[in-house]
Amino acid sequence: MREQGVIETEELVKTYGKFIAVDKLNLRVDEGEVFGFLGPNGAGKTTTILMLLGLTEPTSGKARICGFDPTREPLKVKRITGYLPEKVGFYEDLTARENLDYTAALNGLSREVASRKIDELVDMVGLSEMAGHKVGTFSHGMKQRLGIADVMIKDPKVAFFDEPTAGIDPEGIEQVLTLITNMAKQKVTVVLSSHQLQQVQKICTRVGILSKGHLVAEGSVDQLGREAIGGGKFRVEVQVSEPTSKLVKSIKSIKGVINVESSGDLLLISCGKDLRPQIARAVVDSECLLVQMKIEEYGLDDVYMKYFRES
Amino acid sequence: MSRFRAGYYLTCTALLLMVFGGLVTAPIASATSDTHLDLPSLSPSQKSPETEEITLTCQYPVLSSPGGTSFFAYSIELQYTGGKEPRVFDLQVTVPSGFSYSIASSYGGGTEIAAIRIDPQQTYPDTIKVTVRPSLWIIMPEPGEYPITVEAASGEIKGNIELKAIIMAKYEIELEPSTGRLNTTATAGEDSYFTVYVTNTGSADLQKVNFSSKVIGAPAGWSITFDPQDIDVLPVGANREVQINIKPAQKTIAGDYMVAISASPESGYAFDAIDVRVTALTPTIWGWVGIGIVILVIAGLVVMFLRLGRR
Amino acid sequence: MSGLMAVFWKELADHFNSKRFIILSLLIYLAGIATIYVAAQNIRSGITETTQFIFLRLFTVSGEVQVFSFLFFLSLFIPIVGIALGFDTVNSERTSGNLSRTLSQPLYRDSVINGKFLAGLITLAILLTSIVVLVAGMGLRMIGVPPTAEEILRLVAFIIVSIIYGAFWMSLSVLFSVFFNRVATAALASIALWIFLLLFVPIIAQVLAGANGEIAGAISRISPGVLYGQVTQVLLIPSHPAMFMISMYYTGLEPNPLPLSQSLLIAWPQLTSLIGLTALCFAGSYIKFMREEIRST
Ligand SMILES: Nc1ncnc2c1ncn2[C@@H]1O[C@H](COP(=O)(O)OP(=O)(O)O)[C@@H](O)[C@H]1O
Ligand SMILES: [Mg+2]
Repeated sequence: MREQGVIETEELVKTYGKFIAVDKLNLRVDEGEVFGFLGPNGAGKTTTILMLLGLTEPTSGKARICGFDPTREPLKVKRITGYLPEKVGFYEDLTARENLDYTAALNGLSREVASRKIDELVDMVGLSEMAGHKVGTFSHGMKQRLGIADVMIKDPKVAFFDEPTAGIDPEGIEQVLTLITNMAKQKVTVVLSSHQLQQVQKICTRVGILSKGHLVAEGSVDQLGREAIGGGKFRVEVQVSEPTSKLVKSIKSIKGVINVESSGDLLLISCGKDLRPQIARAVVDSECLLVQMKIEEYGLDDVYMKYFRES
Repeated sequence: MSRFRAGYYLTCTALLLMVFGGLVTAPIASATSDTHLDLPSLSPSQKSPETEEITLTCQYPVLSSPGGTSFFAYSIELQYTGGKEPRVFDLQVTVPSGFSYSIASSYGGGTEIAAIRIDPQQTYPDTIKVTVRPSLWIIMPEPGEYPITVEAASGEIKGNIELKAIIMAKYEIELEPSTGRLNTTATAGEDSYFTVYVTNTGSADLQKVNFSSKVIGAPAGWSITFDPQDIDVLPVGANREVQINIKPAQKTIAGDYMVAISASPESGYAFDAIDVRVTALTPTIWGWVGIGIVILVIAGLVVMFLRLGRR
Repeated sequence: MSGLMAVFWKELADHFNSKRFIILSLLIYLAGIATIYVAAQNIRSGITETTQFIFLRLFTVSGEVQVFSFLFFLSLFIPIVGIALGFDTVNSERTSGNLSRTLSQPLYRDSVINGKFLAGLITLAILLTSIVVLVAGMGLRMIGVPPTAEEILRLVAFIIVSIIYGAFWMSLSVLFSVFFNRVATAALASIALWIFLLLFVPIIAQVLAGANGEIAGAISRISPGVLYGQVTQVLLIPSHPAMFMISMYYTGLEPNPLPLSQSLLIAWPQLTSLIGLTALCFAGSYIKFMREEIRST
């Protein structure tokens, strides 16, 4: 039998009336991973996280966090999980420190321990100067960083970040992502949801793509790209006058070409390495006129786009 | 003393008015009395019309007055019967010592007369007014009965009438605060003394003078005692000091109360009452307790706000 | 348990730091002091030789013109305070996004609502106790008549009943705060219901019951304000026949003051109804809140 994953779901389903928000989700996240939970708006990411935290009840299926059932043993789960909600909110009339104090108190930390920890964390997220200011005066990025401190207070084993980069400037995104990466370095299992994967792809060790409640793809970014688009890493776009089936056949025969699609006068060629010279020769050989040729390296974006288009 | 005098003048004027009133109304009264057949004044004239005689009648032969400060005015009718010619009758009044008298005709506008001419042929009686008064107005005659004789004589023809003046005892009592002011203060549940003078301003000794008191608009529990409790004999003109102990009820609400104090003897009717405004104070201890409670509450609230306050 | 206490202390501090609450309590203190001042001036009118419970009169005597008794003021203010303490309990936390964060901490969900309710209750208790005691102290200073042991007991009972009445309005507004996502909606709904119960229920009762006073009384008793009024009347004016004790009222006899135990016995049905209504509202919000999905949007 496999070693127990930090997060495990089995046929997890959540329906709202007739609407299926999460459909038979099977997921496993192991210790120390940074799992990117990706999908367009309304895909069911937040719903899944809520079920994992016990903030909403699954319609059916099983969810386990370190072996605990979030519905049956909510306190055990909540003791080891940190959660930064999508629209994080703090008590605006309280200072950053007072907000953190409250979280510490809710976690049953003693005053001294809490005070020490808050000092550390505030320093870590770069808010030590602002700690005595009311949260109402904070920018969105500052609140997000404060949220990370808030998650860290209880020394979680698992941390959920729901859209942590949404709505903040690039510098803020950089700071937030660095903080999350540092967390992962301290053996915290991180689940990160986002609909803007280019922002998060570099820190995720593994991603899962959710679409309409289905997990459509799962794996490392590279692996996913390959799987999704037949393994090609590059895509060459060729515009020719009047492409013939002969030309397509000859391009397909080039070593390293994985797939060719034609639409109008455009040929989309996916390949394992940069095959532009060979493709150019094939076009010339076929007596077609080459109008233009572009090459793109595949990223998760494309993978993501693919699933968007599919869904 | 000034009060005395004013009283005197008042009674004198009142009586004078009464006398003049009587003078004016007398002829009318006598005219109407003719029509009454059973009137005693007419009966002697019908008895023996042959013999010459003079009859004196008086409708109110006994007059009484309290205090001896007044007049006794008798209206006497003279009827001369049996004669042919008119006769002049001398008028003689006998009064006890200490009294003086005056005789006036009913018509003569108050002029003093000593004799009267009466025509036996006239059908109606002549009327004279005999007024008896103490010789000196200020000295009050002893209460008692004083006989007065009025005689009309002309040669052998004589007639007289016995009248009576009764001087009744005047019972009058007066209460006066020793300070001259009708207010005092008293603390709830504590003794407080207020001194009054009781004076017999009447013309007779007062027996067993009692005191009573009533508090208006206060709950039960006031104790008002008098020292002495009563006065056995209060001679005419005598003046006694009485100490009143006013002890407001334990539960008296601070403020002003009217305490009615009255004195009256068992003998005769005499009564005087004064309303004393008693400013009831409450024991200072409750004031302090009240202040203590207020301070305690405020302190409690301040502590509460300090402990829970956020800056 | 630690979670409950953490929520409780935070909420208590919130109340004591909220401008809304401070202004409201200042208003109540001022009104209370003013009414007691007026009462102390007017307390002696109507006191006869047989008057008992002089101290309690401080709370029920009103001025001659347009000035109300302490009791009247309090019965008007308690619902406002109760509503002010409760109408944003859950919905503001939800819309501000704090609720998701709080509920992802290791504490039971009911700790949150219990802690909040408890904090409101204690705040209410502090406010009402302090105002009554403060005013009693002032009254003692002014009239100088100490309360008897029974009067003290009656005042304590009065404070407790007032807290229960406030708790009813608080639990009602908490209920609305659970059901209505918008704070303003919850506040308006609570106030609307208050005005309806205060002003219209008696009218409706009268219209429905016609001339029958007893039925009108029964209908008007669905209004918690009427219940509170009846209980406090029995507690604070022991020597007057309560309006709702109709049979007694019509005998025309000068009633003797009832002993406290009897007063409580008479007021018992009203008191239990009040507690029941409070529990009902609280249970409603509890059930809804416990089963609710917490989403931070
Ligand atoms: N309370 C609800 N009632 C009905 N539908 C809901 C409810 N909450 C969420 N949904 C639907 O479930 C779907 C998944 O939502 P969510 O998990 O928030 O998506 P996202 O991936 O953007 O976080 C959405 O289409 C949303 O409309
Ligand atoms: Mg979402």
